[in-house]
Amino acid sequence: MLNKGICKILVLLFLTSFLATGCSLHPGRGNDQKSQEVPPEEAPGQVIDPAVERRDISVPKIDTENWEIGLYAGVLSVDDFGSRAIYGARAAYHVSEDFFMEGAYAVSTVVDTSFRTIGLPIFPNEEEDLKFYSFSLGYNFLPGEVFVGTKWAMTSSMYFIFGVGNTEFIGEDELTYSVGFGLRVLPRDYLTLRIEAKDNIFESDLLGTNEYKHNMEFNLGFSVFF
Amino acid sequence: MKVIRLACLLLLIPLAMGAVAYQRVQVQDPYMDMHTGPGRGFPAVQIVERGEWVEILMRKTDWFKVRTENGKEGWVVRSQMEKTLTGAGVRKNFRDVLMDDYLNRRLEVGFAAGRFDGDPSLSVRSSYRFNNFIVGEINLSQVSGAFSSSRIVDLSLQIAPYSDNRFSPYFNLGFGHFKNEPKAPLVNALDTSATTAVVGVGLRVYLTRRFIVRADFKNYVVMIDTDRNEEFQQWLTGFSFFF
Repeated sequence: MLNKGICKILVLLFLTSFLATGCSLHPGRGNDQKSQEVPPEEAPGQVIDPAVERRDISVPKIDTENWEIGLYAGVLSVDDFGSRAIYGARAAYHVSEDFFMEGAYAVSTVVDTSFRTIGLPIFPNEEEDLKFYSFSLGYNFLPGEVFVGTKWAMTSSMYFIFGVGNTEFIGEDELTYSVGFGLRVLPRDYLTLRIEAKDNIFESDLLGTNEYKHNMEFNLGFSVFF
Repeated sequence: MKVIRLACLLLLIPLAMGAVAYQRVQVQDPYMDMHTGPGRGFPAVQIVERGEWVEILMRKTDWFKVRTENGKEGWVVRSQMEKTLTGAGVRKNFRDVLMDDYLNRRLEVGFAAGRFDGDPSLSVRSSYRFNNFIVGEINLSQVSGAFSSSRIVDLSLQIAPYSDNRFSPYFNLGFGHFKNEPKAPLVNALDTSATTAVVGVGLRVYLTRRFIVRADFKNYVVMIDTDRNEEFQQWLTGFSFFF
């Protein structure tokens, strides 16, 4: 009796436990329950949805200032033919902090007044035009600062300049070598003031013998970086 | 900015600058040195510490002018700027003459001085690199002789078989125009204007990646008329740089 009763209870327990799980009889149900628990918008594998906004940054271009153009004026002394004003323009490209390359064009005049006073004119007219151009390599040395008063410091640099060019007057072209040095001061980062002294050397036989002529030039100028 | 400054130069008027947006970067090195000027010779008088933001105001060669958040200004070298981060959190990439640019260089400009048939000569030239081996060049020469002045314009092709080397030799082949004007006192001397062919050899030596010393030897054959050719030799040395 007892055994029969236990057997019945066991059978009932077995059946109820089997029905209660229900998995084998209703295979689709378990999946339905799962999909109800997980919100449909979350894909499997994605645990956290980062609430970070991507910053779209438009980058302003850096203003590169390696070109320099400017004007200058000074005095050019042409060997044997007087000292006259010279006016010029130049453009330079700064290759590195040490070197720059420069092209310059300038105009001036030459006079043969002293030859005319002794009755030996050399030129067709007393005053003749002179045109000069050159291509130069510059080397910055002694970088430093110039102090004006107690509150204003300007960066500065001494430079050497070596150039080749051409001097033309009374229809003659003379290949000209230039050697000089100068001081460049920058009151603003884009503005340059320059003082320069140069020796422009060419070979000439205008006065009969062929010799090297040394033509000293002193000029002041300003230029703008862009 | 550049156009404004050019206009400023031409008109000689003071420049009134409005508000300009500058690029901001964050320092990642322990500190950056701020120099008083754009060069290693200028003293470093201030520093910017890690984590600080700076604005890049301008660039000259390899130096950048920066402004810190509390208004200090100074010049920082490119090698230190390279370790900064942009607002997007990525490393700032500063454009410079890198190896790629060196290999992809195209336009070269320079000048040279030398001798043309014993007379002093001056040349200006510009060349364009079509590929690793072939370069096209335009050359303007002025020869200032004792008895005459000449001007030569020539176009040539150069073959540079070792163009990636520091010492790069090349062959030069071209044609052009030769013009000779005798000096005024010589009577009965005539102007010469003729076509010329040119062959030559040369050597480029790279001092830095963009700065070049060049040496050239050229042989010009000037075809003066049907019966007469004249040959001239030219030696040149000069400097060039490429953009």
